[in-house]
Amino acid sequence: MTCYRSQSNWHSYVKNSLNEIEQREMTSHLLLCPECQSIVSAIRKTTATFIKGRAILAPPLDIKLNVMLSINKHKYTLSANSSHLFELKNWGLSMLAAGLLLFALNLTSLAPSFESNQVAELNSTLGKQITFPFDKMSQAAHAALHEIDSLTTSQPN
Amino acid sequence: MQDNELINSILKGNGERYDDIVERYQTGLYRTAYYYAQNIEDARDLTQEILIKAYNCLAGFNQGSSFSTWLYRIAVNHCIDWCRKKKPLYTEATCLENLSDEEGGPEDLLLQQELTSELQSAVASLPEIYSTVLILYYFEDFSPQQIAEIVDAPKRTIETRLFRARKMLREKLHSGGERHDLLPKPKQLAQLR
Repeated sequence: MTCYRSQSNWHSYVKNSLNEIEQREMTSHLLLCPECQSIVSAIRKTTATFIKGRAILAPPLDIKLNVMLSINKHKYTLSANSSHLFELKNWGLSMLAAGLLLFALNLTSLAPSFESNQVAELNSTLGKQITFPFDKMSQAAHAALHEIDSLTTSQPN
Repeated sequence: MQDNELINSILKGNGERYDDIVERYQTGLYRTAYYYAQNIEDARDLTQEILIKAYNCLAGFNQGSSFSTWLYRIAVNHCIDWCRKKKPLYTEATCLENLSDEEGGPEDLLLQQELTSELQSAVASLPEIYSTVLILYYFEDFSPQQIAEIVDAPKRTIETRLFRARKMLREKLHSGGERHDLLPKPKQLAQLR
């Protein structure tokens, strides 16, 4: 092989799959180069022989039937629905978050309207509510410890 | 309806539309599978497996690209994997009833069958990288660019493989004969015997 283009895209050229400029350039080259002409001619002859020798097989009728029976036709229905539910869930959560934010903003706007003694009263009520369970819890803990002590002292040596 | 429209419809939950995809591609896929399997039983099973696999992977198909290229990539990989795992139990010449009713007498049909069989076994005897490019280029009419996408190799490599594959095939068919760059026609093939 002596031509610099003998290993070029001749298979693409034969299939007309090059861009317009490349196709035109190769056509011009082909007019002047016997070596490349023989390559293109050989590819075309091989194509013709393969077309003649192509097994013209009719696929068995049961292929389509078996494939359609084997696939889960609702596969993408499920995923489409689940993605829709996911979107709805996200939308719902966003709305909830927005509602909470608005509520919090409303509370802060109400805050200046409280009298100072009202705030103190509210604080003490809240403090009582918080300390009440702690008192109960400490009483229960004391009782439990006392019970354990009595059990350990009453055990025979 | 275009492939992409059909696929969009399937992905929106219309699974029964896959029927159209199967109808459109089963012949080409069956033929490709047949060149690898060398018998119609395995070719049928391979075609079914490819089509089921493609359906299950459909969500991964990039709709900006060509569906046929994507489908043939699955097909070629599946057939190559199959060939590596399992050698065909038997090979068979394409039966007369599998050939379409082409024009010509029984003699032409016989010669045609002979050529098909000869080509088929010559292609199958090549290393798989060469047989794959020959099947896709000459039998399935893909361009080197499309083959490059199917087998995930540069286009330049595909061009080179096509040159080499043709040379190897010529040597196989002519057993080192004097003809060059031309594969035999049915009658010439018969005379070679």
